[in-house]
Amino acid sequence: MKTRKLLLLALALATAAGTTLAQARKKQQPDTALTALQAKMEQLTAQVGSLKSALDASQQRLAQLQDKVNTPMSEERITTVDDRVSGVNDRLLTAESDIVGLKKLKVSGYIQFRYEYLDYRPLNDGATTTSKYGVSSTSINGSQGVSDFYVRRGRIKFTYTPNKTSQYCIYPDFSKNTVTLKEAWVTLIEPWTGRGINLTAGQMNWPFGIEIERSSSVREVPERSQMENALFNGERDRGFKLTASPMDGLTFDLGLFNGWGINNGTFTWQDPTRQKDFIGRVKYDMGIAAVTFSYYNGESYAPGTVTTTIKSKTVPGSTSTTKFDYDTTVTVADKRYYKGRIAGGLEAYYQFLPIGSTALLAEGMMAKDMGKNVQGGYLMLIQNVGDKLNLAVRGDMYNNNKDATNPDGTWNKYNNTWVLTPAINYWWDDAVRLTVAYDIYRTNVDQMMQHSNPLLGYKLNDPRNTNKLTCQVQFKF
Amino acid sequence: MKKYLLLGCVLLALAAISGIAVAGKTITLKGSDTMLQLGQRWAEEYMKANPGTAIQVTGGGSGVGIAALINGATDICQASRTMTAAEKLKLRDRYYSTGVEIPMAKDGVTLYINEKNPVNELTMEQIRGIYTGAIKNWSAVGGPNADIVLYGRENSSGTYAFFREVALKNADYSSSMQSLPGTSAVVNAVAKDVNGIGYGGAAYAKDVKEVAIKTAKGSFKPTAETVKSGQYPLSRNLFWYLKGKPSGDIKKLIDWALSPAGQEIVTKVGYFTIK
Repeated sequence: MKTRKLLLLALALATAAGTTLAQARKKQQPDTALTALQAKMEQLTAQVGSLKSALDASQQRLAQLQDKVNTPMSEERITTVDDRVSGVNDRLLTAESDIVGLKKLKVSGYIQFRYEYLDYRPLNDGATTTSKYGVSSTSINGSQGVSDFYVRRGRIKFTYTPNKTSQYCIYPDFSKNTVTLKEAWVTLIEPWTGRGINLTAGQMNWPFGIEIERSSSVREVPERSQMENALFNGERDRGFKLTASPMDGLTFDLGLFNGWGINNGTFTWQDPTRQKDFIGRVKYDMGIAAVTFSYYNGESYAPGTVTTTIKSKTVPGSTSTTKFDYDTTVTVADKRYYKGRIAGGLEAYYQFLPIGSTALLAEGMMAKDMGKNVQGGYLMLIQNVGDKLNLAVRGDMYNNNKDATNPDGTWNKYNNTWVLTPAINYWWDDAVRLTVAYDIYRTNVDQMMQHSNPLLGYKLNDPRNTNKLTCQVQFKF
Repeated sequence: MKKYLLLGCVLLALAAISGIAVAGKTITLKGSDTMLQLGQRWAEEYMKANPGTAIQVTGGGSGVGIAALINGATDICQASRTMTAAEKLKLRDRYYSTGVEIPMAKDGVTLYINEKNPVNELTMEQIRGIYTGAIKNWSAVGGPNADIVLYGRENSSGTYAFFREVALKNADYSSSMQSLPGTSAVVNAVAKDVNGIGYGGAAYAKDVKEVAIKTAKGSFKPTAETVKSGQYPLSRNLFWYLKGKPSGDIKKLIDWALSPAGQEIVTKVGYFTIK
């Protein structure tokens, strides 16, 4: 009985304890959840608070911006902005003005660097022999080949065109270890008729023929023709020229020049003689063809020699005073020769073949020079092969004395010199051109050897080859 | 003999390099800004029909295109003016040819003014007066009392040269004219400037007002009829220039551009067919 009561009591106590514990646990759970909920609420409240702050700040900022927009720019600020814009505008106008000025100056030029090879150059040992006909000659007893690198031309041309009524040019050359002036001229351009009337004064190309004015930078073979080199050496002279184009394609040139050219050794920069040379040229250019006729009338002058002998005399009665007398004797008289030339030229351009255009350039000239009748001419054929390559061949003849005779009075028909020049031109790019050319010479001596002319009576010891190979690189800008 | 054989081999190698027999080459068109859109549309349509051919089109102005033709930098020059005698001589010096000129389309150089400008027509004398600076205010030609603002092209532009020759009779442009690099730039400037006036190809006249030109025979705007008949005083041809006679891919392109299919594109772009 007691045990039973004890057990019941224990059970009641356990139940009470369990219930109490359960209740306690139950009490804790709602507390924890509540705490968490409270924490969460606090968190959310804080977030709402910060969002509200941010919103307030944004609203303030917006209000500030609106104020800024609505507030007109201050006068000071407007002036500052205006000044800056004016400054930029002034700088722009200055830059534009500089550019316009620079565009009036054109700088161009070209450099030609060459390698030349000749089999033969005569070595003169100075000994003189006389043939049975009384013709003296200096014997040639040896030869020397030539293999040479050199700068043939290095030129820069400055042309300034300030407006529609004038143009200026200065054109030096920097090759051959020296600086020479090629051209220096001013052109006055008539602005009323539109007929291309202009007057050029200074040092310029002779307005004669085709080849003289055709730049070395465009020429398909290395050098100009023999005739041009003999009669118009240097291509340039000092004087003035009047040009007019009365209709499209037709051009007249009339000029008055010293006549000596810029390469003359006697009159290097001035001409003290009175005589001036006249040049006239008419050209009609139809685009696919052009014809030119040129006329030259002037005087050649060969200065004579004056010998001056100084004599001294003693004044009678005095041993110390000496007087001088001069005797002047003309040993060689000045000589004046009529100088005349007439020339005709033809240019033709056409595309016969699909690979490229073909061109024909030809000129012939008859002249009187230093009392001799001379004649010469050339014919050049050029074929383009695509855009970068062309092939050219020129035949060139020059007779420096049409009336030359042999000692027995017979006409010396071997006085011509012929040169045949095949050439290849290749454009590496639009600034660089490569040229390979081979000059094949046939002189009167060669011809005599071939024809075994017995009249002159001498033979050379060595067979000769005066042919010349030229390789050139040209840079043009 | 060996020398000649070597020379022959060198020639053949150079000929191959020179591009006389090149397959799959890109055809380059360069020059007129007026013809730029037209050239690009031609190129797109031609390349769709001929996938093996690539065509590259760039602008720069007729003067730039002609210089590129002379230097060998382009196959075809697009030009809105004819080549000058001096340019033909330079081309002849280099290629022994004065070039081949092919008219590809017609255009009427249009005077653009702002859409708000009440002026509707101008005589040639008025146009000349405006662009030489003799007429400075819109009120002198029936417009509002406001200074005329001149817009034009740079001097490398064929349109600049054509307008100067035909409209100004070779007189100088007013120094106040603002030179802009392309017709689009001129149109944009006029569209934003109530007092502005500009000129350019008919195809570019969008968001601006075209001014009719009043002559003794009537008032004309540039249309197919007035341009082809010459009634519109500023009518002109648009050209392609080549160094020599065309062949190969270039000839095929030219033939296609002149065909009905190619000329249809001319009309779509806003110019007028050549025939």
